[in-house]
Amino acid sequence: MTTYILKRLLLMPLMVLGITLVSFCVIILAPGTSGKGGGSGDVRSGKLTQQQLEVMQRTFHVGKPIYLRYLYWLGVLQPEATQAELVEARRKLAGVREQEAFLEDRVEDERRYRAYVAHLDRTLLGSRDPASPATPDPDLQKTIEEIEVDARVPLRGMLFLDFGMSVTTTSVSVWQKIKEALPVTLAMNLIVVIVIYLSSLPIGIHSATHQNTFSDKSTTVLLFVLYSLPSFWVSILMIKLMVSLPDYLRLPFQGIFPAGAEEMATLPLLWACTKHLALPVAAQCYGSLALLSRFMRASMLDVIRSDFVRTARAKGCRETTVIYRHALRNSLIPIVTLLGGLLPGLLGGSVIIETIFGIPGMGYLGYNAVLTRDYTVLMALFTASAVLTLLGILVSDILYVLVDPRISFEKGR
Amino acid sequence: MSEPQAQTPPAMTGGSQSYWDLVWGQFRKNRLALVSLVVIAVLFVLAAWAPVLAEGKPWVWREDGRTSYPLPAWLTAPTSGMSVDYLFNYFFFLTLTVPAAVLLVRRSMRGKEFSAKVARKRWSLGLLAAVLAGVVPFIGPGSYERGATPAEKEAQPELQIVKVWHFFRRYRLDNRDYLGARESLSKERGDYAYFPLVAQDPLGQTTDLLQPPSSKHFLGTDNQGRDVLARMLHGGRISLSVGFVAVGIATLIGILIGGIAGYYRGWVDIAISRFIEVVICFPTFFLIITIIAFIDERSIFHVMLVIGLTGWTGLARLVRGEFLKLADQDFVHAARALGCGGARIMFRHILPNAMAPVLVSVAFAVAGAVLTESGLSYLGFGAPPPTPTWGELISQGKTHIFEGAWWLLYFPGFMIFLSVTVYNLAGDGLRDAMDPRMRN
Repeated sequence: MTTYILKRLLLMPLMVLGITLVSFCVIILAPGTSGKGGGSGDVRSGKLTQQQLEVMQRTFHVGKPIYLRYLYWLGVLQPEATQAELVEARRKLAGVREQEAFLEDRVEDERRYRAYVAHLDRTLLGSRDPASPATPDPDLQKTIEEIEVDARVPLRGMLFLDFGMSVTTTSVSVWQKIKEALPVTLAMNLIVVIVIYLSSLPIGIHSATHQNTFSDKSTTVLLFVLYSLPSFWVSILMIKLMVSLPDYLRLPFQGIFPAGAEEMATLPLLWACTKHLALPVAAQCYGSLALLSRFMRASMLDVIRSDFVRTARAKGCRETTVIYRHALRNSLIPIVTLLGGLLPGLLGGSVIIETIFGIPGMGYLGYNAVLTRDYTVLMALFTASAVLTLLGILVSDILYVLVDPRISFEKGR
Repeated sequence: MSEPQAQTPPAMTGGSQSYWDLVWGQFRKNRLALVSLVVIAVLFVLAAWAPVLAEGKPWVWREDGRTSYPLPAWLTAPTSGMSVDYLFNYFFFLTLTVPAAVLLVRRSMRGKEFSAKVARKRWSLGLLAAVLAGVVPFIGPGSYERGATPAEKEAQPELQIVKVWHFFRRYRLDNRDYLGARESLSKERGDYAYFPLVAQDPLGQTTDLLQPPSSKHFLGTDNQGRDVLARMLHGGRISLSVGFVAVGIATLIGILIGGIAGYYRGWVDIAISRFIEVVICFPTFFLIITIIAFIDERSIFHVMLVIGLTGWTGLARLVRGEFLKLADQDFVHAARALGCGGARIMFRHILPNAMAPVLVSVAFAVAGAVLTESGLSYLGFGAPPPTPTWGELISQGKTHIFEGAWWLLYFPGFMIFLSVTVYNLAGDGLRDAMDPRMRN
């Protein structure tokens, strides 16, 4: 048991390396992009500006041999030029921060000064003339932006969780973007997984205990239909239904937060968010729910036919005791492992559902990154979601061993 | 199946039945699965017959005393933007030659007694002849070069010249608007035209934008005035071919990688298994979108290839498990003792015995690939624009959702649902038929 977990843990770094290698290959070796032409095709097709291209090429060291680029991206090696550049950039960045603070102070001072003048105008002169809103000096603003772009720190390496800057949105780090998107996807998927398990277990148990009755047959057919429905179609049909419903029955279908979320009290906000999440969660669950219920039914049927359940019945246990104390626990074992199978789809975020419902999660971020050719974001997304999935699968495997003491991986196959 | 059948359960009905006969016998009892198999066949025939049922080109076109045959010409040398047309037009000819061959073979054997061997030989000869006869219409001297003349290009800059490797008959790209020109035919000059059943072009744009179903357009029109029924029939070609080709690629890779891992074991197995685990961690749909977005001039074949290249992991795991189980059996040792090489043992001895579970998961994978393709087309990452696909119609329905364009949502969505359901049902039936516990 311990050796098994230890073995798995020791393999982890190797697997993570494998993941980085695969995501690097996918992005760098993709035809017609950052590979041979160094992404110049994207400029010609208008997907990237010249400046963005330069940022991208600098980040990925276009022109160097592939293996070096991979090592640079990982952060195992650092090009000498970059090392010097790094020191320089650090120094520069410190300076920039100072300068920025100074400039921002000046902007702020000016705003205050104008507000004060306006205030004087209003109180002393009684002028109704709305004071010009404090627009920061455009020159100053521009300087700040320029400095920011200039001082972009070269990539320190993925292993240091530095994925660089977003290629398309200047001055936003990739890490920042992921940090914003990940909690949304995680929260939503947590709800999805809970809903799936909470509803598929009772459905499966009911079907199994009432095998070949009308209710069993009709749920089986219904689940089969659900399993085959394309989720994007269902989402659109739900939106269509919402559009045609009267106002008081309508559920919101855009985003996850209601308008004016900042001013709302906790409970109404929670209620509003629940309403916002209802449709996307429903759209994301039903397929897996159907699958899991079918598995649950099959596994429960297997267990009910086994000897120990017959023994339990024979010694006079009540039916509920037999089902819930004896059979249920054993039939849960294969269901636990299915969690590992669900994870890859869940953690990467469902691209289609997130785009349809406008949920700012990982899938939506990825979709936009694909459209705008934001290579740094893409690489980070692949690596991050794959590593998270790897962790999830590891946890579910360990869970499996914990749940079922009969299973051991030590004796080999 | 002439291979040793170690997995074959003892035949229960007496006599010697092969494993697949048993499975088929069991499958036949499952009415739902049988119906789904029939529906799959119907979907295929509809896709093969799409141009014959709904196309804007006439069978025969007579104007000013000159006769041309635009639809037959297109059937033997498809020139639209869809490159799967060659395949499905060939299927169309097969739907004619195969029944003819069946009839002929039946007739030749009527009233006579044949040994099973001779009968089988006749059947295979007849079917082979049918398969070859389907190619005949494609072969022949090209009457015209493919592509637009410079003058035509001048007049119609958007005229797309399809670059296909041509081996078969070549025709000039025929983009004439026959439906529009139909009005100008005059009976006095003896002009006539015979159009297909639904005389609507799946690619031709008209001014009837977003029309609801009517007697002219049975299922309405889309936002460029193209007939939805025609587009759905032709879109079936994409959906079906993507399902099968993509899963074919995935199956090949899966069998190869999983087979090697399961047969050679040891370090090879560990390395391959870890690699599979790494690949499984990637969110598949996102991966597919990314790769497809990076392809500069994508075609439907790229979509198939990418879906196939990303979908092999489950199959590889399955095949590995089967190979691990089978590689220790006596017939494998016997084959090795006879001096068979690794490849021969793997693919001629073990694989046929591992085929059953592989087939089941292939059926489910086809359903999954159809779903993936429709999702891709919905997002705009599927076949490039003029090509009709079901997902693309739904995405138009989504765009015009507030105008209530329900015919763009319901009909194609139902087709996707139907095809996914029948593949799943067929897979389910196959699995039940192969389950020895279900047999009695």
